[in-house]
Amino acid sequence: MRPAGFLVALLLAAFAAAPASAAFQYYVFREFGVAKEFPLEPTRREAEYRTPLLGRAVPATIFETTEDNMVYRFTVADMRAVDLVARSAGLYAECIAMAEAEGKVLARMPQRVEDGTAFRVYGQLTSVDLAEAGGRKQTNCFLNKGWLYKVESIVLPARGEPNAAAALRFSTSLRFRIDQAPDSP
Amino acid sequence: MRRIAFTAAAVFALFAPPLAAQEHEPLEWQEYAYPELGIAKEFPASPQRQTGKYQTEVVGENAVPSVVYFVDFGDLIFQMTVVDLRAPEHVLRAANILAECIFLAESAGLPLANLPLDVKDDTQFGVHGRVVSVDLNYNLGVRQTACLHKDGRLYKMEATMVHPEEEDGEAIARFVTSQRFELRKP
Repeated sequence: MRPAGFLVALLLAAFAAAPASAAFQYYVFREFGVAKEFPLEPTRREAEYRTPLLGRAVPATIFETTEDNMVYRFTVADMRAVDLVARSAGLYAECIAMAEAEGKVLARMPQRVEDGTAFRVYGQLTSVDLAEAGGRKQTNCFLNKGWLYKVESIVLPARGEPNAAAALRFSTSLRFRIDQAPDSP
Repeated sequence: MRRIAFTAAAVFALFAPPLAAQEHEPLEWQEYAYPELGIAKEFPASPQRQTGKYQTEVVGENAVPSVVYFVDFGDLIFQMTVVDLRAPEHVLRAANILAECIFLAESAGLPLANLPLDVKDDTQFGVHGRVVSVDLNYNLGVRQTACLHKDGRLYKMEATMVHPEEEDGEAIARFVTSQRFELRKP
């Protein structure tokens, strides 16, 4: 009986000590054809996406929130210009290569997200330890229908938990099937 | 008695020398230009040509034309596939087709590496793709695959070592990285 009681007490203590877990919720961004989970309502800002391969800046929208020493960022860049559509394969590959160049690569994982078509949307998740002890970062790149989707989760060193489960959840929670999804609050 | 025979066989198998690597012809690398396909590619011998079809989930129900150039030494196989994806619906899906190419290459076995591959072309941008190395399923050897996409064409380079030998590693790496898209230069 004593060991069982001890175990229950330990579990209670563990849950009591744990930080409030992020309440992930989907936000639907119909103009970008995507729904994305965030642990908190993200801020939105208009920005530019510029890379060496792009050769110029294109409009981008960044949704971002921070919580408990983690940064959750979702960038959607407008690649619908005809010349960019023609080069979209290279721009997608560049997104992955740039994510890898940010630090020491720990993992690469292929991604495949349902979009309601027969072929689905393919992407790649890259996990790196950022240079100069900047923390651990996961980047997921997709390019679909003229939009580049870049999902970034950064676990800052102060978090003390480089493999925080929320990072992987954020990196991989993306939906292209939004026909029946509810609108964001 | 049966157990002794089995043990003897197992011990023999354990200490028997590995199967000798198959001898193949010496590799005589030479670049072959395919202006109609927008590429120049090195092969270790004069390649054979085949036309075929390329069909994947992303390409869709209707297979698209492809051209395959290959050199088959038995234990070493080098293959370049060029897929015609110039139709508008495929141009729109170019990134997804490249991503699927990488995905399929990784699905062929246990991934060993997945690296960026940049190739110069006659623009300021170059061509950006990936090289994937896998230990093939069913002990079928080791394969490196390069996936590149340019101007409505998917270029897939595959080099397979059926019996992985260290000295052949250089050859398969050379094959998947020896292509040029700058055809104006000799």
